[in-house]
Amino acid sequence: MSPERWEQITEIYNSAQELEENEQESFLEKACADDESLLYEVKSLLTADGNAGSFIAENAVKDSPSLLTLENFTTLSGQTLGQFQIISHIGSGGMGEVYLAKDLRLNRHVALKALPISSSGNRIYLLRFQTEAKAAATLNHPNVATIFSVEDIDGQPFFTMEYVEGKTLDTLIPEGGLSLRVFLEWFVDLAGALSHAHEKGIVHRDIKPGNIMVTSEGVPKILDFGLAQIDPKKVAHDSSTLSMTQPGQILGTPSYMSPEQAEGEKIDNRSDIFSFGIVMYEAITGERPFKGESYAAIVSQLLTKEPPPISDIKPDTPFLLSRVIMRCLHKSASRRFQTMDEVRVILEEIKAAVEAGGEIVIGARKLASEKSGILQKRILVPLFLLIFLAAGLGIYFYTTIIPKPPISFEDLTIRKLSQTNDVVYAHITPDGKSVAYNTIEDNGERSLWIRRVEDRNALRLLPPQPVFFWGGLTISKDGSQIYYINAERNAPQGTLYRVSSLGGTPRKLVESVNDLGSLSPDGKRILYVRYGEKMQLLSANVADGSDEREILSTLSTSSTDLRQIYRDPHFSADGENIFFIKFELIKGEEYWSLVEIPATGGEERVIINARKPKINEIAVLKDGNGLLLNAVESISNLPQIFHISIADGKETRITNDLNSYFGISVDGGGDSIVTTQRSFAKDLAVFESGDPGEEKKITNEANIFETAVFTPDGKIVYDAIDNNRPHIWIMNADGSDQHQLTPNDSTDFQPLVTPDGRYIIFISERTGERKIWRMNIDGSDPQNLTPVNGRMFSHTFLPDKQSIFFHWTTPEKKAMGEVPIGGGEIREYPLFGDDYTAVSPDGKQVAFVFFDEREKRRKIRIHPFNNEEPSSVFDISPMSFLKWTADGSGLLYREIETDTESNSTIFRQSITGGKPQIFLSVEPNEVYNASQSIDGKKTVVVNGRLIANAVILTKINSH
Amino acid sequence: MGQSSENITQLLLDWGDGNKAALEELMPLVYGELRLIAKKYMGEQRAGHTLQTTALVNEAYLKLIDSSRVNWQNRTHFFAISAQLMRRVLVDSSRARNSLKRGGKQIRITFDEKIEDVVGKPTDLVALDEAMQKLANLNSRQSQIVELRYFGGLSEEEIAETLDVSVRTVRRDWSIARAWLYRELCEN
Repeated sequence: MSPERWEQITEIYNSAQELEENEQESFLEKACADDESLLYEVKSLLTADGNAGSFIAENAVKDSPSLLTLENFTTLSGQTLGQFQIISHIGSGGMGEVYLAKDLRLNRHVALKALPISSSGNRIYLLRFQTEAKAAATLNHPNVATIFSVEDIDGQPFFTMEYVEGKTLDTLIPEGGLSLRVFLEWFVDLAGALSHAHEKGIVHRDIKPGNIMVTSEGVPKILDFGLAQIDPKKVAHDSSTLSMTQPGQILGTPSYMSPEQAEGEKIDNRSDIFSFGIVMYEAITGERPFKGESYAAIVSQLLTKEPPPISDIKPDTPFLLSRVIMRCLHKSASRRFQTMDEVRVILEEIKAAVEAGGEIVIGARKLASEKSGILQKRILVPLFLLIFLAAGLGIYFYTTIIPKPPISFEDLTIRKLSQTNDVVYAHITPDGKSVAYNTIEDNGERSLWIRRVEDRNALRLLPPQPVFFWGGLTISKDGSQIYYINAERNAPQGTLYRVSSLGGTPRKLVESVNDLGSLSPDGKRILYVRYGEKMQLLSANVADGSDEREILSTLSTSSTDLRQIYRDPHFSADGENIFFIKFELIKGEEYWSLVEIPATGGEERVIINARKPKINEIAVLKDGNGLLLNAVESISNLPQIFHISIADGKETRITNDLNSYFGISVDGGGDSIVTTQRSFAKDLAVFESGDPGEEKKITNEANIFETAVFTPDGKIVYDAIDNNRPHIWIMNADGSDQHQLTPNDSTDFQPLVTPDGRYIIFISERTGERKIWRMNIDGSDPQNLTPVNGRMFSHTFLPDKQSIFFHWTTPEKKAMGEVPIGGGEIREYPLFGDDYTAVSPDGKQVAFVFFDEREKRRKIRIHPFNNEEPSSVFDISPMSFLKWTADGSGLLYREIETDTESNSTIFRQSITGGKPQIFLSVEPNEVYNASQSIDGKKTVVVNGRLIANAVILTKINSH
Repeated sequence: MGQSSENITQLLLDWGDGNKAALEELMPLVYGELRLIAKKYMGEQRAGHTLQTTALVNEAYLKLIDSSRVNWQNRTHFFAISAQLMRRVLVDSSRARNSLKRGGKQIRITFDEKIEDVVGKPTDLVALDEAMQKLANLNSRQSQIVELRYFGGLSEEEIAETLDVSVRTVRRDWSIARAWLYRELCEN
C-alpha cells in the first residue's frame, strides 16, 4: 500500500466515523465508488475499531509491567552457550548480567557475564562491552577476579571470569564497621589490586562494596571492572571507544561516585581513589560518608559536604588511618593521593605498626582505661611520602600513638605575669611555681629575671647587657638552674651559659651555639644546635658542657647559607627520642616540619609536615599528652599556641586572638603554659610635608590595626581593633568625628580609598576566608569582589584600568589577580614577588618585594606594566609597608629590622636611584605604616610600640 | 543538580532548537534513568498495583531536567523521547522473552510472570512494534501518536502540543491507527 492510498483510506474512514452507523453504509458506497478494495479497507478498519475493545487503550507499562523489571537474561539460565553451561543467575553488574556457568571443556566453574541481547544490536553497548573485556583481561593480580575469555556465541556476546565463591563486602560490614585488623588485612590487598589496575591504565569507575568479594579463605577480590575506562595515554586503543564512557555516568551508584563523576566531568584514576576512600570509610565505620534519601540528595552531599570525622563515629580508629581515608575523600582530585600506590604504602605501614603492637588496640577510648607502661607504637611514615605531603597539601600526620585521653584546653584562663611591656622570652619552671623571663630595655639591652607565679616581686639574675638571648630559656627540673644562650649583635654564634635561679655568677658551658633545647628527663644532658660548617644537633653534659655528642648533622650549610635549620630540640617524655623543628628552603619555598629522631641518633621521622607556614617553638607535655606548638597557621596570621593531641591527633588552637605569642613552655604537670603575649599599641600621627618637626598625634589609644589612608577630600580612613576584631573607620584629619563604617560582627581591615573618593576597598573575613570587598565611602553597599576560592591580600589600585590588583593564594597556586572596581571577572596573572605589592599613582609601574636567590636577600623590584622599559632593582628590604609617594617619584618604607633606630624611621627611595633618605621619624615609637594625601603635603603614620608581657594560661579550677 | 542534569537540560534545549545530534546523546541518558526508576517502582509496588507510564516518565523528568530552564514545549519533547525509549525498552524485553519461548528451551516461570497473570494477557509488543513500523511507512504521524499515547502515556492534549496539531487530528489519527494495528495483529 502506498501512503497516498492510505491517505485516501484515512479520509474516508474519518468521515465515516463522524456519521451515525445507519448513514455509514450509503456514505461508503458513494465515497468508494467502484473501488472494492478501498471499500473493504475502510469497512474492515471500522469493524476493527469496533472490536478493539481495550486494545492499547491503557498504556504499555500498565499492560506489561513485568517487562520493565525482567532482567532480560535471567532466562538464559539452563542454556548452553558453546562450552559453557549456564547454571544460575548470580547477579547484575556493570552493563550486563552475571551467571554461574560450567566450562564443560575445562570442567570448572566460571562466572559468565553477558551483554543484554536486546542491547547487543546497539553499537554503543557492544563497544563498551568489548572495551570492558579487553581492559579487564590485561589484569593479573591475586586480588582481581581473573578474566578467562571473551566470547561471542550465537550472537550473544559475553566473557568468562574466575568464579569467586564468597560474599560481597557490603554483606560483610557489621554495624560499627570492621575490626581494624580485618580492615587492614583486606584493604592493603585491595589497594594493591587497584594500584595494579591503575598502573595498567585501567580505571574501575565503579568501586563499591558490591564489587568487592571476599572468598571463604578471606581473600578479597575486586570484581567487575564493569565500566572500565582505558587511559588513552597508557593503552593504545580504538579511539571510538573513548567517548562512549559518557552515557554510563548516570547509571553509576551515586553513593560511591567521585564528585567529578557525579558532575559528568572527565575522570581518571583519582576518581577510583575517591570511591575507594568511601568504601574504606564505610568499612571501618559501618556508615557511608554521604547519605541521602534520593539520588539528588546523595549527589548534593557528595559535592558540597565534608563527611563526618571518622573519630566521631569510631573514636578508636588510628588517626593516621582516618587521615588517609579523609585524604582520599578530598573533593578536589588534585588534593587527594595522586596514585593508588601511595595509599597502599601507607596502609601497609599502618598494618605493620598495628601488627607490631600485638593485641594493642590503637586509640584513646580503649587505652584510656589502662594505666601506665603501655607500649608506645609508632607508625613510621617514609620520609618521601611526607615530603610529598608537605607540598602544600595541608595534611599532617602524627606517627606516635600514645595511650592517654586528650587533655582539654577548653576553659583556660589567661593571666598577665608582667606589666612592664618589655618581656622577650618567658618560661615556667617544671614545678609550675616560678617563671624565668628576660626583658629588653629602651636601649636594646636585655636582662634576665625570675619570679614566683604567685608573687609580684621579681629577682634580677642578670643585669642589662647588649646581648641577645637566643632560643629562649631552659630550666632544670628542680628549678635551680637556668640555661640560656647569649650572643652579641651580628655575631654568627653565641655561648651557652648556666646561672643559678638564686643569682650569682653565670658559668659558661659550650661555645659556638645557635639554638637552645631541653634537658634530658634524667637532667644530665642538654640539647643545642650549632650553625657552622654543618648544621648540627648536639648534646652535652649539663654540669660543665663536656662530652659533646652529635646526634644529627647536615653538610653544606654555613651560618650564612641556611638552607636547612634545626630548631628547638626537645627530649620526648621518656627521653628516648628527640623532637625538633626543621626548616628547609627548597627552591625558594619554605618548609617547616616537626621531626623525631632517636636520642642516640638515627633515622629521622617526620611527624608533622608544614601545615603551619611556620613552627616557632615546641614544648613537650611530660605525661605523653602530646606537644604544644607556637606556630603560625597561615602567612597572614600571627603566631598562636596550639596543642596537638597524640592520642587522637586532634589539633586544638589554644589561643585565638589578635595578639601574637612568642615562645612556649609548660610545667611538668601540664597544668600551666607560659608564653609571651605581644601586641602593638598603635596610634595615628599626621606629618605636614614630611617634616619630622610637624608631627601631630591625632589619636590616643585608638588601637589601630595596621592601616590609615587619606580620602581625596582630606579625611582619614583607617582600621582599628574593637572587641578583638578590626573594623574600618573614618574621621577628619585632625582626629575629630570618628565613626565606624563596618559592622561589629565582621572582621574588616586594610582599607584603600579609590582616587575618586567613591569607594573603600578592603579585606574582609565575612565569608570566612580573606576576600577583597568594596563599599561606598559611607560604608553602604558592601560587595565581595572576589567570591572565588582563595585568600586575597596586598591589594592595590590600578587607576588607569579602574581595577584592583592583588595577591591570590589558593592551596594549589600562588598568583596575582585583577578585578574591576565594579566587580566582574577576575583575571589571573603570574605571581609578582612575595608581598608588599604597590602600584604607582599613575598606574604604570608596580613595586614589590622579591628574594634575590644569588645574594640571599630580599630586595625591591619596580616593574613597568607595559614591559617597554626594563625593571629596576633596589637593594632595600621593606618591612611592614611599602608605599609610593603621592607624586610617584619614590617609595616610602620601613627597613627590615637592623637596629632599633631604623624601626622608628620611614625611608624614601627615589625611583631614579641613589641612596635611600630618611623621610621622617617617630622616635621613640616604631613605625608600622604610612600613606600620603593626594597632594603629597600630608603623611599619616601608623606608629606605636610593642607591648610584650609574660602570660600564664591555666585550666580553670586547677589552682 | 549536578552537571549531568545541566547537560541533559541543554541537550533537550538543543534538540528543541533543531539539533538532531543532541537527541542521539540524550537517548542513552534517559534510557538508563527510565530503567532505574522502573526497577525501583517494581521493587515497591508488588502485584496488584498498576504502574503508570506518566508517573515513571515524570519522575525521570524531574530527576534529569532542570525544569526552571525548560518551557512546557521542551517538556513535551522530553516526553516524546521517553515514549520512544519506553517503546524500545519494552519491545526489547518482550522480544528477548519471546525468542526463548519460541526456542522451546527450558522455560522458567518467574515471579514476574505471576504478576502478569494478575494483570491480564499482555499485548504482543513485538508484533505491535512491527505493525507500528509498517504503519509509520504509511503515515508516520499516526504511528507516532500511538507511540506517544501507548508507550509514552501522553494525553491527547499533550500529543497535540508535541506534534503541533489539533486535538481533533490526534483523536482521528489515534482511531484509525488503533484500528489498523488491531487488524494487523489479529491477522497474524
